[in-house]
Amino acid sequence: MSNNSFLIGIRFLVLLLLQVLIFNKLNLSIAVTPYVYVIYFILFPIKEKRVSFLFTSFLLGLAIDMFMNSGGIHAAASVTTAYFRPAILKAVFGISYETQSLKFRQATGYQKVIIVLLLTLIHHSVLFFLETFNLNLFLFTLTKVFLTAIFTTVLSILLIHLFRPSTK
Amino acid sequence: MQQLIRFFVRNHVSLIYVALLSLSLVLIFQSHQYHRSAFLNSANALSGNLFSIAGGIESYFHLEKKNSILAEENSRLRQMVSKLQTVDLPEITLQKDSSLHAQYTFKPAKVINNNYALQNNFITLKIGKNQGVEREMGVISSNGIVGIIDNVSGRFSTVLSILHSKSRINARLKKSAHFGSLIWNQKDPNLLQLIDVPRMAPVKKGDTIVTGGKSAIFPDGIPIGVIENLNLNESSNYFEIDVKPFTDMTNLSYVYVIQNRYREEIKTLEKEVNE
Repeated sequence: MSNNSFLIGIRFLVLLLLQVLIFNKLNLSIAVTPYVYVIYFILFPIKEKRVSFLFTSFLLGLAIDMFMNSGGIHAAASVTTAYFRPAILKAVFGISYETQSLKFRQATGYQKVIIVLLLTLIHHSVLFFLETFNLNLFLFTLTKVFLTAIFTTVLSILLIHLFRPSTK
Repeated sequence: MQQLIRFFVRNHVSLIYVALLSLSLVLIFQSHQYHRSAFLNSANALSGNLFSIAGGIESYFHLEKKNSILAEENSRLRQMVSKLQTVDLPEITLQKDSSLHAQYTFKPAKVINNNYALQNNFITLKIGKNQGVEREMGVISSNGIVGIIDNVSGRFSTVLSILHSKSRINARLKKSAHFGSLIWNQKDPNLLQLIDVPRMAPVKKGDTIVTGGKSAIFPDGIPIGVIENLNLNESSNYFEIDVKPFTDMTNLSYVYVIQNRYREEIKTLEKEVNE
């Protein structure tokens, strides 16, 4: 249990630093910034308490907000993603979500893509609509949500596979 | 009562979610208010130091580009000096007066973090209160304007970039005194919008836009950019102008913070007038 918390803490810090020091500077020509810290919501243990999941997600978002001077938009997006994750996992895994102790890494490739894409879409929708805060730019924001979500999903899956634990 | 407690226990996750979401919404609304910035901002010691370490490493990757920008600025300044030297000075009589002290001083500052791809962009500078920087001072690059100081800590400060939905800067045409406000429509970081220019103003594509000097923030005549597109809104009698800024906001390394000697005086006077 404590080992698990330690791992989560390390992941929290590494993702925060990765995001603010590397991926925020990775601006493609179409002004798309991937928010790879969504990996935190993907890899957070499924059996862990939901309350601690909500709180740590909120803190992660708040820390990102501090670095990006964005008020609280990342905190709002993060806590929303954390709140809706069980529903998504239930939809993807079906009955086995409740009966077995599942892990994200045990999912099939297809399931993984769906989970990552859905979580990213929730996160980015909240984030970008709060960021723009202007319904005149609705279509612009929607395009941005989808473009960035695709980019974030690809990068997140690559990163998760790159840093998988070596013990098998 | 028991039912109420049971309700709270059963729905505690949702209730915590709503509480945290409302907290972040409060923070967002607070940061959207004019003259009030984010409760948490990157001018604090933690993020400032982290950014300055990372910025120190990163700056080595752009040395060549930065050198050429500096060389360009130097040559431009040299040209201005040589022009001034050819002016026949004895013909102009200068009176020695305390008002001849420069009204504006320019302090160089290092950019340690720069955003330009967001909807509301901020820049973090390695200069702060200890160096005399305060809120609402203007920030320019060697080519043109960059933004306005927003939050200040001891050693760091954040700049509200011209690429921010709250940014509103008084600007005018270089060749006439017709002025308007420079804003950003949050779409293209290479295009700013100049609004409120009346239809009688002689505006052409390719005209230069400079700061208007109608505030205590920027001196008059700091270059902003050139007109890229324009169209006249027949219903409102004002031009809608797209301006391409001279400053490449995607590539900032050193900027200048402008201190106005008479800022306090202007502000107190304006306050008295408003009261």
